[in-house]
Formats: sequence, C-alpha cells, structure tokens
Amino acid sequence: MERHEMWLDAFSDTQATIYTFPNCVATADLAGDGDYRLIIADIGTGTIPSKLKIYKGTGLQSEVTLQDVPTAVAPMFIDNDSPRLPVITVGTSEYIYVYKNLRPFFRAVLPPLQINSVERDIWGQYDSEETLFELLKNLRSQIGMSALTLKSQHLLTLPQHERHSFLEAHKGTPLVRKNIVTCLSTLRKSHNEDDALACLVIGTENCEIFVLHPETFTPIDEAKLTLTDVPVFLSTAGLFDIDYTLTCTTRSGQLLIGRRGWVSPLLSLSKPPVGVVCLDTSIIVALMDATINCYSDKGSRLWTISAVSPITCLHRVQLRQRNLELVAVGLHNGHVSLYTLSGECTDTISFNEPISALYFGQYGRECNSMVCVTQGGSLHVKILKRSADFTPELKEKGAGAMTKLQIPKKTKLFVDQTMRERENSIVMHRAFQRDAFRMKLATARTLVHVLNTKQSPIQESVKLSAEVLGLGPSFVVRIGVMNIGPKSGVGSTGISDLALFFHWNDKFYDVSPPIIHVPFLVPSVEVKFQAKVESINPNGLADVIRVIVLRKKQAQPILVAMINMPPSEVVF
Amino acid sequence: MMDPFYLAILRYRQRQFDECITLCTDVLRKNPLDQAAWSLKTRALTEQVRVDYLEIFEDGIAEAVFNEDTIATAARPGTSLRTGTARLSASRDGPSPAIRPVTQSGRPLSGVLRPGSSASARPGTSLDQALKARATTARPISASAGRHVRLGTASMVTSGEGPFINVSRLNMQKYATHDGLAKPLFEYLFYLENDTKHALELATLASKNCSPRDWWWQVQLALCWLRLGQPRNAEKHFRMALLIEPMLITYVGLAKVYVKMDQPLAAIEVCEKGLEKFPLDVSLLTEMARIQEGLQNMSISVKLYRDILSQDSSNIEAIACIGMHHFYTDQPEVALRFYRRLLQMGVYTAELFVNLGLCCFYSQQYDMTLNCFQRALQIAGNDCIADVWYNLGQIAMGLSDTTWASQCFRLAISSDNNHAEAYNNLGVLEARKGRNDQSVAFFQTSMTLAPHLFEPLYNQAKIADSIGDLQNSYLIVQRALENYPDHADSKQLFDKLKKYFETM
Repeated sequence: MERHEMWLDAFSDTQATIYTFPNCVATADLAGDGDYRLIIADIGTGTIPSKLKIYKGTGLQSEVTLQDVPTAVAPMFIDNDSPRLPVITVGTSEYIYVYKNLRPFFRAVLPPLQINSVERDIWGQYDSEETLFELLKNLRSQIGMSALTLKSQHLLTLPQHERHSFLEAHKGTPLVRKNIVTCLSTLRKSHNEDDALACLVIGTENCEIFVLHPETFTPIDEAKLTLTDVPVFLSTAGLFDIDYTLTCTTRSGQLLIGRRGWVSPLLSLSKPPVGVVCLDTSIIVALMDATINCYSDKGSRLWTISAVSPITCLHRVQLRQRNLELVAVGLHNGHVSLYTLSGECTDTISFNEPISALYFGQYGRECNSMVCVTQGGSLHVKILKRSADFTPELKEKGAGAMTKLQIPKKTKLFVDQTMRERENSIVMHRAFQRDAFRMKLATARTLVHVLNTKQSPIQESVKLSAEVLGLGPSFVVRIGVMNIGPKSGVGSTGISDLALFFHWNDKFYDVSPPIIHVPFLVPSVEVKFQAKVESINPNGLADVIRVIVLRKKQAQPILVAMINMPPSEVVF
Repeated sequence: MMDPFYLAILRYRQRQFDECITLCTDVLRKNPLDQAAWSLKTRALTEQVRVDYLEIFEDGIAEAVFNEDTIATAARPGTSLRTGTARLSASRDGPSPAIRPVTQSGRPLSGVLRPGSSASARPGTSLDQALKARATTARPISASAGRHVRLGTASMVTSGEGPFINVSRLNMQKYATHDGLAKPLFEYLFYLENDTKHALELATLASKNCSPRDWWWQVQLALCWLRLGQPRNAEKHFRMALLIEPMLITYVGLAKVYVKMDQPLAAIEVCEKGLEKFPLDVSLLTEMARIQEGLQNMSISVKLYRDILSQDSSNIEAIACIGMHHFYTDQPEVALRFYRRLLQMGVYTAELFVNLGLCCFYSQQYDMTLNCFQRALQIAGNDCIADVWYNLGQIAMGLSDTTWASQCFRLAISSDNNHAEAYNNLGVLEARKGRNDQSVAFFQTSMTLAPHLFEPLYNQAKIADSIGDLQNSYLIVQRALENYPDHADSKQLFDKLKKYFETM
C-alpha cells in the first residue's frame, strides 16, 4: 500500500543562507498574539557576523546582530506579567544575552573562574620573555591548557617572533579566566504549561551545570552540579520545584544523569554522541556511528537501531493532541526520519542536502510544524497533516538472506568441451605449454626491443605520464615526471640533469617549447610540465608525438613515451 | 554509340560513381544547363561519401560539456542514461562492475564499438575532466564537427578540379521550387559540403513550396536541426513527418532525438510504436537493444538482440553483444560460439582474436588460446596492440606467471601510455613484491588516467591501510565506493576504518 504523504510544504527558502547548529533553532509567541515566530541564531560565515533571525509567516521579520557566535537559543518566560511575552535567551561565550520584544533586555555573565596562583605569580614577577614562556609551558604540562588564563593560552600558541609584540600590546590587561557556555536548556519552574515560568540550565566549559533563577538570573546554589568532564549536550525533563531530571553527555562520551544537587554517571558511550533527548523515564542518544540508542534511567539499554546515514541532529517531537511522542532524526544524506519511542521508523522526509538543524513545534498558528535547516543554508518548514498516520512501517522480512547466487547452468556445450578436454588432455597440455613458451619468448623479445629503444614510459628510475588537454586546434600536453628509483624511501637519491625533448611531425603540429629542462627530481614526487601543441593540419588529422627523456651529455635517451594525439577540432 | 547520359545513369545504378561523374561532366561541358545531368552528378558525388547520418550521430564532446540543460543529478532509477547507472545496484540486471568493466559514464562496456558506446563526458564532471577523458581514450571519440569536415574534404580531393557547386552563389529560392533539383542539392549540401546552414535554408524553402506536404523534407529538416544541436526542433519536425506518413527513418530519428535529450523511456516507446507499423524491423530493434543496454537491462537487451538475429542472422552488432553478455555471465563456451560465427562471417580483426583467445582460455580449451593471441599480435594495429598485450597479461596472471604478466603489462603501457588498467595491474604486481612506493605511484597514475575505475582506488586504500596511513586510506576507499558502491572488499575496509575512527 502506498503511504500517504504526511506533510504539507508550508514554506521553503533555498536562498536563506542560514548556517546554524541543532540547538540554535526555536519558536515562540514573541508578540503574544498567538502567531508563533521562528527564532534562528545564525552563526554567520566569518565575513557575515552572527545574527539572530526572526521569521514570521513566510518571511524574515527582523534581524539582530549578535556580538559573538551563539551556542544555543532558548525562548522562555521569566516573569508573571500579562500579556505573556517570552524573552529569547542566547548563550554566547561567557554571556547569556536576554532579548525582550527583540531588544536587548540585559545580559548575565557567568562568574569568572579562579586563576591558578602559580600562574598569577609567574605573570607578576617574570624578568624575560623566555623565562615567562618556559615557566608557562611547565605549568601547562602540570595543570593543562584549559586551566590557564586566556592571556597565557594565547601567548603559548604564538611563534617566537610575535611574542614580544603581544606582550607589549597586552601589558596592562588583567588576567582573566572566562567561563564559557557549552550548552543551554530550559526547565519549567512549577507549572507544566507552555507559558509557565522557566529556569535556564547552563552547561559550562568548567565542567559545571548551573540552574539560573528565572527572575534574578543568578545560579541557584543548591541545584549546581559539578561534573568530571565538559558537558556538550543537555536535555531536561520535569519541573524544577517538584522533581526534575537532567541528562547530559560529556566530551569524553559519558552519559550523566542529574537531579537536584546530585549527579551520577549512567554509562560510558562507545562512540561520541551527536544528540541527546531526555524523556520522563528514558533517554535517547544518537551516536556518531549512525545508531540511535534508548536507555532507561537506570542505564540499561532498551533498544538500538541503525540509521541509513550518519546522524546530524536529534529532536523531540511532541504531538499533544494525539498524546504521541516521537523523535526526529536529521541525517547526513538529507533525510529526516521520525521514530517512535519503541524505535520504529514511522516516516521519512527527504531533502537534498545534509540536515544541520531540526525543530518541531508551533510555528505561526500551526502547532505541528517541522523546521529544517540544511547545511547549504536553506530553510524548510513543513506542516503535519491532520490525517497523518504514524503507525510504524512494516519491516520487510529478511529478503537478502535467502537470495540465491546467480550461477548460470552449465550448458551441454560445456559438457561436450569438457569431454574433449578429458580425452585429449595430454595433447592439449603439450600444445599449450609449447605455445606458452613461444609466447613468453615473443613477449621477452618485444620487451627487450622496447627497452633497447627506450620506448617504455616506466624505467627503473624514472616514470613518465602524459595527458592531453583541450579540443584542438590548441592542445596542452601535460607531462608528469617522477623519480621512482630503487632506493626510493629512506636514504634515496635524487636525479638531476634530465631534459624532456619533443619529437613530432611538423606537417601536423607545432610544439613549444620543444625542450624542457627538468629540475632536480626528489624521489616519489611527481613534477608536472606543460607544453603547448598547435595542430596545423587543415583537416584536424591526428598524429603521434614522442616525448624523449634525455640525460644531458648522453646520446642514448633514458625513455621514450608516445602520445597518441586526439583528432583536432577544426576552426571554421 | 550509346547516349552518354544513359550510360551515366547505368553507371550510377552500378554504383560506379567515378565513371558516372566523368560522363556527367562531359555532358555538362556540352550543355551547362542540362538539369538532368547536373542532378545526376550531384547525386553521384553525394553517394560517394554518403553515410547514415543517424547511425554515426553522436554527441560531440564539446556539446556534452557545454550543454546548458541542467540534468537532475538524482534522476529516478532507469529513467536516465546520463546519471551513472552503475551506482544503482538494486536496479542492475546483469553482472556487476567487478566482473564486467564499465565505461567512463558508468555503463557496462558494450560488445561493439559504435558512436556513443564509449561516451566519455557525463554532465556534472568538470570540463577539465571531460577533456582529459576524451584525450586519453584511443577510441574514435571525435568532436562531431571535426569528423564531418574530414569526410567532406576527403572526397573533394578526388574530384580534383575545385568545387562542383559554388554554395555561396546558389539561388535557393529558385532551386526550392523544383523538387527534382532540390532533393539532390540538399543531400549534396548536407552530406558532401557539410553546410548545414544552407541545407537548412533550402529544406525550409522547399518544404514550404511543396504541396501536399512531403514527409521527406520534414525528416531532412529534423536532421539539420539535429546536426545544429537543437533536438527540440528536430523532434517537432520528426513528429510532423510522422503525421504526414509514418516512415522507418522517422521512428529511428525520433528515438535518437530522445536519447540525445536523455529520455530513454520515451525513445523506447517510439521504437515500440514503430514496431507496430514495421513489425520486427532490425533497425528499430537495434535501437531498442542499445538503449536497454545503456539502462543496464541486460537480459532485455540480449533478448532484443536475439530477435534481431532471428531476422538477420549475420548482424555483427547483435552477435558481438550477445557473445559479450555470455562471456561476462560465466558462459565463455557459449560466447566462443558467437565469436566463431563472427570469424566465419569474415570479420578478421585483432579484437576478435583476443576475444576468441579469452573465451578458449576460460572454457578450458587451452590448445587454441595462445594461437589466437599469436594471430592477434600479428594483425593488431597501433590502436589495439595495447589491449592485446593487456589481455595476454591476464592469461599470464591466470597461469600465475607474474614475471610474464608484468612484462605484458609493461608492453601494454609502452604501446599506450594511457592504459589505466595495465597500470593498476602492474601496481598490484609491484605490491606483491613489497614495493609499496612504486605500486602507489602506479595506482595514482591509473587513477588520474581513469577516474571511473574503482580498482586502483581500492588497491591504494589497502596499501595505505597496511602502512598505517589510515586517514588517507579512509578518504580513498570512500572514493572507491563512490565509483562502485557494492564492492564488498571496499565496504569491509571502509567499515573497519570507520569503526576505528568512531571508537573512543
């Protein structure tokens, strides 16, 4: 049975030039009018600065330029005022920017980290640049690069001649160790409603997870978690005031589960994670080996399935009206697959580029919208049809296992011929051996002839390759010369004093330059030369051009290669 | 004495065109306004160089490369000839690329060499690539314009005394009104002068003048447009010709137009319609068989070729293609029969002897094998001697005589510097001796010469893997898989490396 298309194309813009990460896309009712806007933090391209882009309906509503590359965006409610207007929080380096009504509202700074006392001493009392550099280097080997201040880190990466000017330029600047936001998520405070007050949850480079108070934006001490590694993906479930679960994966591939003031490693993942979704009682993790794994909150694996292509992003899909939860997986081959929580694929949408970010939620007035950003920078919005059916696709039963190898039947002819072979085996063998002997002799003779006349393009020490470019009457002949001497490898020798010489029929072609001097040839590196060949035959007929490799002051050529020229296009 | 003009007509019928032309020239010298003699001479001159334009019609390299139509790179399986159909393993019917070699465009090698069977340019490849690809093959892939001119000029030389008709001074309007003069003149312009523009002008005027409308002019108009690279216009005229009167050439031409526009299914449909009017016609069947072969529907293609043989039991193309199919589907003894049939028909080429030799070898008739190769070596010209040596190298490999094999491959390379397969095999032999550097050099050469092969890529990846250069190996094996996604060994290596890179 043909499955019905479940999605309607609402809007797509292939020229949107949005380059973003999975956590940088969200929707929110920014104006309080029930028309949800799409918020995308665009990381820019290097020349174009990072921007916060707000889409309304099928067009860009406004843009806000960001100070730095965004890590994640999270729209949330931070007050109880009415009308209910959410703010947009954007995490960039050490700041959390908060935008209200699309205007900068305030920014929160992560508390700076403590500076190592030894490092402070080194900077305070160094006498020369060399000693400073050496001491910092020693310190680095003791406490690691990430425990140093920004200034030290920068200095350590500079080459020697730039250090002086760096130190001059930054003489007075204080030592700071910034704390950097690595991931961001929200957690509702006391009510599980869309417009309920929420707390921001932040993972930092300093291996900590903070929960910020919604009104004061200061870390709530009792909820602070200290980890052993840097968190990279964060997902939350539950309510802050009642009970909540945090799931995060770290850079070294640990899956952690945290509650209020308590954190414990659940398990170590075998492959680097690419996304995590925390559900009420289970956790879904996508790994780099293109598998989606589901773990219970006790750490036992419930199921695992392989996607057809490497996974780029993972997003939770909640269909409230149907009381259905799914996960959407963006793949590198441009597919977006929807899986049920028991690991069955229910639908696949395909785009023609790798997916870079996915979001599912309300957009405009349509509560089931899928936003998809591809790596080429295009933006697609699809709306789920009311008639969509999420019963899992039936799995095809092991078709591959039982297919027979295609072996053609042995024909009667074959049997007859085998009989002939069996009856005349001795005669046939003798004839074959005799012929083989003759052929070997003939081959060897021809080879000797070829070698004597140096016609082979491969010789013990030099290999030649030639290609012809162009349609004619002007061609370019590109010659590659490579030293493949027997001692190639360690302690090998180079070849010098070579020259390429062209030999051609002057009724057909005109070659310039006729002779090319080859520089010193290092072993195993191909050197390319070009010669221009002009076809001067009025009918475009083809001929052979010979390339002769000569050693200077030696009459015998080393090798000769023939180039069969293609027929030339004729000028009208 | 016989009337010289009557004699000229007789000679024309006897296909003694030289004499016919001399006689006509004499007649014309006496009476320069003798239209009959003029017309006969035109026809005789044309007949000397006439070739079936539709048969040799092929996309020139420049046309393929500079083609501005954007082709969806992900055409649905089995609807396009241009996308590398070898990539779609599911839709493939017949031997895999590991067994039957493929051409640059990813289609299986055909049994006969014909225009288009070794099409080199595929859209999406860069210009640089296409030009290189063309230059490296020793096969007759020429830009179409160049070839037409050559055919034309060759005949001019034989006529000796300057052009017979001064094209630039023709009064087209006058000739167009007279059907008897216009048709020979058109063919003269089209086939001998290769002056498509003037031919088109004449055909346009003539088709307007004649009433009732003539299918012949419509077909000629279509041919002109086809030569000018305007398949859409050609299609229009072919369609019109079909409405006037369904003729065989129209169906064949229309099929060619659809192939040029990369709509193989439409082309097949046209052929089928043609077969309703002209049941079991060989040219239509051939056209269909070729398209099916291009679409990798090997069994259908072979069935069509068999139908052709039941009509015309000495059709070389059909025999060669069926033979090739049997050879690559592990029935060399059957292939041997087909090739023997070709030999009996008087085809006497080095390629045929090589094929016979290979068939003998693989069907264990060893006593005949090397005889055939000997014969092939004796009669091989410069263009195929490399392939003879290469195939002899394969026999040597079969006998596990690596020294002999390596000598053969070296000879193949010395006669054709661009023999990518020989470079690859030589690389494998070097790698067996443990000389990794040299073998990598050979693989790289093979790769640059023939980017469509997967073997050198896989071999190089394997060597890179064995010496611990995993990153390179990973990258190269991915390229091998791009060329041939189902290659089991490449997949295995890829999986191994992928696991290595993913594991923490």
